[in-house]
Amino acid sequence: MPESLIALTNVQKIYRTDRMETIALQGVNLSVERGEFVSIMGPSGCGKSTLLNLLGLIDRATEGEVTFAGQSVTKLRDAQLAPLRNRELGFVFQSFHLIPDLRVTDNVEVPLLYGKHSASERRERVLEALAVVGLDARANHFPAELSGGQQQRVAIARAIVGRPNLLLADEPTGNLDSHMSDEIMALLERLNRERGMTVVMVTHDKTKADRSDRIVRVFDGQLVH
Amino acid sequence: MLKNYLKIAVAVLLRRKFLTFVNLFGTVLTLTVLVVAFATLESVVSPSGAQHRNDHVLAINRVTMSHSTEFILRSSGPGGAFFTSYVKPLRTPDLISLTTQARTGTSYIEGRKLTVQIRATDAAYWKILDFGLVSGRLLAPDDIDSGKSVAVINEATARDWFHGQAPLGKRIVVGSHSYEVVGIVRDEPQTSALSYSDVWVPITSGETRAWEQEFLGENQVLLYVNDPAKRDAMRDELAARVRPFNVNPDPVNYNTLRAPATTPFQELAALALGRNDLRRDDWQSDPSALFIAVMIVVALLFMALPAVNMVNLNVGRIMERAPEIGLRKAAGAPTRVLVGQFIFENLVLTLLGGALAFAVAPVILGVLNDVFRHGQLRLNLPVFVAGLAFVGVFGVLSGAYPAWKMARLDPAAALKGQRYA
Repeated sequence: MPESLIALTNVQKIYRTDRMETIALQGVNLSVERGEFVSIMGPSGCGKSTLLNLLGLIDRATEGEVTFAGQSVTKLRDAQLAPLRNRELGFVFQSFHLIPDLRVTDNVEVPLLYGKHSASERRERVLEALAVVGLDARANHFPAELSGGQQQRVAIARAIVGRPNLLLADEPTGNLDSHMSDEIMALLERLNRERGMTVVMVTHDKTKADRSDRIVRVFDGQLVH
Repeated sequence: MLKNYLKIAVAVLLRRKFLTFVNLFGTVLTLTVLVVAFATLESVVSPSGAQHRNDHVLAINRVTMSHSTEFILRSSGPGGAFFTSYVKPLRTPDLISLTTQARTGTSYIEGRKLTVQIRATDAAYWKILDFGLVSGRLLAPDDIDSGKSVAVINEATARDWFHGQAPLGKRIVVGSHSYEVVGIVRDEPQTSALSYSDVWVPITSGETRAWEQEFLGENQVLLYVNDPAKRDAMRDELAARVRPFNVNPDPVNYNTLRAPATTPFQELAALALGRNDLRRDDWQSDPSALFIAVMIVVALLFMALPAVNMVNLNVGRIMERAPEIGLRKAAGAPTRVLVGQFIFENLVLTLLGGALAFAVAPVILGVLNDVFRHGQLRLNLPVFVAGLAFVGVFGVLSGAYPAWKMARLDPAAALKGQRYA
């Protein structure tokens, strides 16, 4: 029986301001199994990224239950969620979110700074992650010296350097041309297939989504089948 | 982790060079002004050089005659007649001295015009103050009693006049008077009000002794007591003695005499507070406490300036880094670690400002040492460290608050660049 890595049960997310309330997600039930490659699709503003943020434990559900590896994380405090994210999760963003003032190695090292790793272990893991994404030759470059595809590969190296179980990618190919998009997709597939990493990816691109195990469609804040 | 913090701290400082410059300028300016002001104050009031026994000394620099009801007064330094009538009879002081203030004298030597400060002294002056004798001797009682035309000069004058030749036994001319050099002493800075001069001669060596009959004159009286605890008693005895103004040089116009005996600090405090307005009787109260309070308030306000500047810049800097904060939080950075990172960055900025101030302040002090004759202003390390700590604490607090607010944002909100405000 497949084991659920992360599951949302009857989740609702409402954004509130002084003047208005916006329902971003409503009645969401979703389970992602270990080792699965899931794509989330839907039109702009439908709640895809909100869903990904809830799966990534970087946003909180207004209502409903979130469980990770069988444990409820809904009521965990920030101080308890932080080490969980550090150990279990890796993030890849459309706009890379690399720190421009740091070299590639220092960018990749960021998640390891918040875990219990010696300096030598951090260095070893950074080089290994860069080798996985094929950027070991660019270790001492600054992000601005790299192409978009290379920057995204650095971001992927940063996401996997902590050897997480779940990799969350928010439109990872959205800012790239088709050639580079294919490279990034191939890399995500390889991480899923060869390393058993669970991958959840938000995308607009049907051809990319078709390469995953399952497509979850979101429309007006609800999952549609 | 600190290495990574340091890298990002340096990078952030270089990212906005002008903001960094403004921030550093504020810190450097504050610390430098603080250090220079304190060095000047210390030079004026602290016992050092010939005045290292200041704790035993009070000086009368100004005597004021006024009328209790009519708006009329005369004020100047103490004259010979005042000294004889009001100071000499005092029993508390162990030594008393009457000297002229340092005055500018001109001389010409080998076609060059030399301007020196000259002071005419009695014998007690050399016992009250402790000049560093380089060679020869100090003025002796016999020089004063006989009105000899002899002089003690300082090292700077010896260099300027004699260019490496031995000055002892040679003559110098100041104004129209010629003196034989009998001793050389170490330079005393212009900020030392009691000891500063270039040339010292007997008070009796002038062409006339009319000064002995004058009630007011450009002189200075020093009162010395062996036991510093008796300084107040000395002051009280003087105050009691001048109260009945019974040696009135002009009984029609004046019936009140004031002659405050002060420490250099009290003198400076009164000057700074404008309390030497001689129509008032403020000398009876010690201005030191008020002066210290004002100085502390001014120093705190002055140091608060870069602190506020730092708060402003830090808020802007931290808010523009919202996506980085979001990324770090997503990567598992706890709030306290993120706050620690920003505090560390502020500490780096403060220490950098401190290091620059540490380099700049001695240069400014050096310039001032050229402005003040024989200046000996020095950097006071404890004051510098205290100022740095104050600026540092404000810097840390100024960074900690916006960092704490930002670090508490949900990572998703921070990644979108959302600000806490």
